[in-house]
Amino acid sequence: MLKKRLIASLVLKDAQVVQSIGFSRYLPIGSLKICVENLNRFGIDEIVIIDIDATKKNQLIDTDLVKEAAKYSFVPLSVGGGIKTIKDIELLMHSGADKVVINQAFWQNPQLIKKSSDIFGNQCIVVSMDAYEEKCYDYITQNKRDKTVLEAAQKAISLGAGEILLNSVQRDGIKKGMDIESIQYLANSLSIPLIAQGGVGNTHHIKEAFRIKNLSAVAVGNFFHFIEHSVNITKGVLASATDIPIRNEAEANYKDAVFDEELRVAKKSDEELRDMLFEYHKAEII
Amino acid sequence: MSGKKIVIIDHGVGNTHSIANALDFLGCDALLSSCHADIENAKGYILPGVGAFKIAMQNLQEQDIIDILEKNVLSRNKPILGICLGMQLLAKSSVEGGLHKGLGWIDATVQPLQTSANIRVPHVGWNNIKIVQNSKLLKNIQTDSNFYFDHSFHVVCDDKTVETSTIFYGENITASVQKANIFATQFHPEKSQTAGLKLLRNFLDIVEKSDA
Repeated sequence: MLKKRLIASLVLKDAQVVQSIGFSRYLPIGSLKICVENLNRFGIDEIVIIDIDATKKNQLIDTDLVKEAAKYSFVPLSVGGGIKTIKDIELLMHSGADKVVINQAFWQNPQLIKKSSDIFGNQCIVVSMDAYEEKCYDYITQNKRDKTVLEAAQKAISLGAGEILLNSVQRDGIKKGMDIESIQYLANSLSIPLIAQGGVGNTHHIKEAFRIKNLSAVAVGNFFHFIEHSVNITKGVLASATDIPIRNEAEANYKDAVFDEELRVAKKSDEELRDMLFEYHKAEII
Repeated sequence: MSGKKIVIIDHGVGNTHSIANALDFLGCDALLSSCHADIENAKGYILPGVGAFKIAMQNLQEQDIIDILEKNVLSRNKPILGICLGMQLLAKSSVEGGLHKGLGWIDATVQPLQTSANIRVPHVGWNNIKIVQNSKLLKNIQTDSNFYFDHSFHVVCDDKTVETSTIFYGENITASVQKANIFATQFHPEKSQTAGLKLLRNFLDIVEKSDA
């Protein structure tokens, strides 16, 4: 059966990955290709890369940066930032992007969604929507828009979008949990897959979101940056919840781990640790 | 030795960079090309595809490479791996954006996936395959391994003997096929991490051992 997807969201500002808080504060994290490489090693399902300055600077996300980072990724890359034309999309698809993420252009030029869906297929067009309460949000003017998220999403679907990426402005970076009610409402109303983002501070929050039956994926930004093995541990915890279909196939997989209520990995017994000293693990060479 | 062993067919609608990256990781120096000489000299082919069926077929026709591919694949039995849209192109026809003719190398048609209360289309994400027939392409891959899918249309085989694996998404969907030297996957092995890389390695081995 189709698994729930755990997606890492990498926000680029001035060619660096940054931590985003409330769409207004940004703290530096580091190099894009290193983030991509580590996320792959830790078993992430998919990666979204967005250049949040590109539209403001009226340019496309740096395709050389994407090409370089793509070398390290064997999971899909959805790339966005300043996409305005079919040529932009073509260039990104030839630079290692598997899907493109369109935000501002959906409002400035909705026909781009239709045209690009006809040429590239709807399965690679992701429309990203910033939500402030039930209304869409314009991150450039920092104001709510007239349309509700549902109205905008339905329009995007009619134009040929393949997925909706829903971003909660109020929950961005607060680490207190996702807006489950709004996500559930939207997930039940749409005929295409929904990815929700904003508010994850720990694995309980992800579990809660994954229990929304029709939610396809959770995108996580800040949470993965500061804890080593956060992806593997998260998957280990999710895999132990038997009602959540998740892929847990990384080499370091915490399948046999025991977690406490704080979701810290419990120490194995002394006997188990002693036996592990003499285990032989043959390196798998593909 | 002149000419590259593996040619990734450049028909303008592929995520060719991703495939080239994956092959590069496996130590294979593949060539991205639609030129007759390269196709003639190659030992095996990858037919990628992320895009619309109609445009891909149009491009293949405009590039005038269908005949030479048929000569090398159907007559000289050189191995070919079709991926995603590349698998769909092998079918007789597709209804994506109107009715369009495919290459017709496998006895199948391309139909839309059905949306329903529980089923969202496109089918996006990791799904586990059920191996229904042995295939060298699936060597060392466990049944229930997850691969990445991203498609709104799927291949319906009239000749079920070519089906090598399926997935379940509301109904049974063909995940991979083999007809002699013609291999294809609906999923993206170049984007399916370890399992995908293993499958690509299997294809490289198939090309290596082929005496076509």
